[in-house]
This record gives sequence, C-alpha cells and structure tokens, in this order.
Amino acid sequence: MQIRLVRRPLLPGEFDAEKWLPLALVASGFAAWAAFHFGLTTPGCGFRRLTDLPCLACGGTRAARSLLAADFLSALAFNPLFVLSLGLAALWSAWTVFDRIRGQSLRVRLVTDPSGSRLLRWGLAIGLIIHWMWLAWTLPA
Amino acid sequence: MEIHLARDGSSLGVFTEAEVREGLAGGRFRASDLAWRQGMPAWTPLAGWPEFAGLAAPALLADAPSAPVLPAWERGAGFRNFFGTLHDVILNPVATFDALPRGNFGKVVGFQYAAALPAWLCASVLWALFFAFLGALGSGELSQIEGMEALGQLGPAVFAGILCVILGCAVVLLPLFNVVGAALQHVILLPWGPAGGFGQTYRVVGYVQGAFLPFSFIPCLNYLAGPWSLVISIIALSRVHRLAWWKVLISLLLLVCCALALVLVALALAGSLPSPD
Repeated sequence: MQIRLVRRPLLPGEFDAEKWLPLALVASGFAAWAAFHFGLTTPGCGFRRLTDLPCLACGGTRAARSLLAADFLSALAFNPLFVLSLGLAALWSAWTVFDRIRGQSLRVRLVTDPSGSRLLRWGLAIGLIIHWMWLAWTLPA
Repeated sequence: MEIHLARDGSSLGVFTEAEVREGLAGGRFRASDLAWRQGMPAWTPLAGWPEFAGLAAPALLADAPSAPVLPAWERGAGFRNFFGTLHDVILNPVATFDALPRGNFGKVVGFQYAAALPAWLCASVLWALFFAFLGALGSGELSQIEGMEALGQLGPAVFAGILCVILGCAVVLLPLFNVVGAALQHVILLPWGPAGGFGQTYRVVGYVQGAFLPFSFIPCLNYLAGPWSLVISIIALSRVHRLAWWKVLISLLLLVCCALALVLVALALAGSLPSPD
C-alpha cells in the first residue's frame, strides 16, 4: 500500500493549485474580515432549520469569527473540519511561497496506489461522520 | 530510481524501472504516457526514454489513443458525459479550456438545459417542502416578514407552483442571460486583446455556469460553489483567450464593481423616491 508525499514538476495541463491557493486564502480572509466588519450576516443553515440537525458546514461562520479574533481553540470547537482544512491550506500555501522564494519549481503532491486510495476514502468518510457527530453534540442551536 | 508516470493530465503513481518495463510489456502503460524522474527538466513520453526503447515500439505509439475531446459533453449528450463535463470543468479546467473546440453553440445550450432543468425542479420542491415543514405557509407566519404578506396566505402547493413558474422562466431565458453575461465579460476583456472571439467567451460562460448550476441549489454547498466558479471563470477565460490570469481577474473585478455600483445607485435612487404613503 502506498500513501506518501512526493515532489514532481507540474504536468502539462494540470491545475496550478500553488498559484491559486495563496491568492484564494488571502482573498477569503479579507472577504471574511470585511463581512464581519460591516456586520453582514449569512442567512443561516436551511438544513438545520428543516431537521434541527447541523450540516457539515454549521459553525463555520462562528469558527471564522473566532479565528479572526485569534481564538483558535474556540474555532476548532465550532467546526473542526473548517479549521483543519484552513490550517492545511495555510501550511501548503506557506510551503509554496517558501518554494517560490528558493526558486524551487517542483510541486508537493500526494501519491497513492488503489489500496491507499481506498484507505484514504474510508478514512475521509469516517472522519466526516465523527466531525458531524461532534457538531451535533456540541453546537448550540 | 523511482519514475513518476502520468496520462491525460492525471498522475498514475510512482513506479520502479522494473515495474515500468513490465507495465509497458503487459500493456498497463503506454509509450505515450508521460514520465519523469529526479534530475530531469520536464515530463517526457516513455517512447523517448532510451531505457524503454525496445518496449516502446512504434506500434505501441500508433495504438495510443489521441487526446480526448474536452469537455465530455462535446463528445455527445448523455448521462455519463454530463457528469464527465462537471468533472472536466470544475476539477480539470486548464486541460478542458485549452482544448475547448470552436463553434456549435447548440451543445452549450443543451448542456445548460441539462444542468438547469433538474436543478430547477429540485429547488422548487425543496423550497416548497422547506416552507411547508416550517409551517410558514397557510398559518400566516410568513406574513410577519416584511414584504411577504401575500406569500404567507398561500398553501405549499400554490407556492411551489408560483416558484416553478418563476424559476422555469429563468431557466428558459438562461441562454439569453448568458449572452448578456458573455457580452459584458467579452467587452471588458477587449482592452487586453483576447485571442478568441465572442463565441469562445459565450462557450466558456455557458459551460462554467452550467457546471455550477446544480451546486448552486444545494444548501451550504452554494457558499463554496460561488467563489470556486469565479476561480474557474478566470482560469477558463485566461486559457481560451491566451491572457494572463491577473488581467482576467482585474477585468472580472471591474465588472463586479460596476454591477455593485449600479445596485448602490439604484438603491440610493429608490431611497430618495417619495413614499407612496
């Protein structure tokens, strides 16, 4: 079974994630700050209103607010998936910027074989279920 | 040393030289597959590797299929090609829009309808159910919301019907909306000297809007679909018109700013009008 990170050049026609991710992160951060600063609110979760159960994204706005206030533990409690994904994206972006400064053109990519892919898919599915159970247990209505 | 292999813009994995040799002989790998290993400047087809010269025979190269037409909908309408197009546009935009064929607007319009009609039906049913479950319809709860007095008096079925008609009109007029949207985007790109004509901009707008339409109706996913469709639009327009991505970004931001300014002016005008009372 193979699951590992490798460094290789960008394929012809491959999506250049390293170019867009740092830009998207900065733009999203700015948009979030502006939205909170000007008091804009989201319409609320339709799934929650309908079923009284949280969706996978519930708590995301509160997590973003906590992150902007540098309260990382509260943010993690509000929506672990959001915070961990954002952390991973930030780490990858920082690595990308570091590589650009060093003049390194190789890209970091995850390589798996079929059994590795299967394990990752199952891991992701179980992780999402645990995340959803956490939200259902902890998030106030 | 390990060899990285790729086909059609996707990685096949990392293999040893013996595995590649065995794969070429057994037909698992093709001579046209791209390969790279540490120290090489770029990806090279296996046919060009001296180590595999005996195995990468001309016959193997001749058997290798040519690059597929992208997006999948251009190969023909169908269930499989519809989902293939969603994948091509949303997850593989560079290769898709580099290879976007010219002409044939019928296919783009067909794709938009294929994406919009089920989404329209689902949205109508979903929202009708949503209000019915909330008990907002019929009980008059909706009437308490400002401007919703008339809707609050309706039953779920009538409400769903009205929603169907409104959204149905929007769906029927979708290609027309896209003509206007594409025209605005094309005009604002003109100062940069786009390589393609208006037709290519229309095809980009049609495929990008069509691919994101089903996701726009799914609660919570629509928050992700919106920004991502903007990123894909920038990539698609820059590839089709051979423009730097930042030039397209500036143009689209300008367009968004103009639209926001128009809305603000309209709101200001509406606010300055005398009240009917």
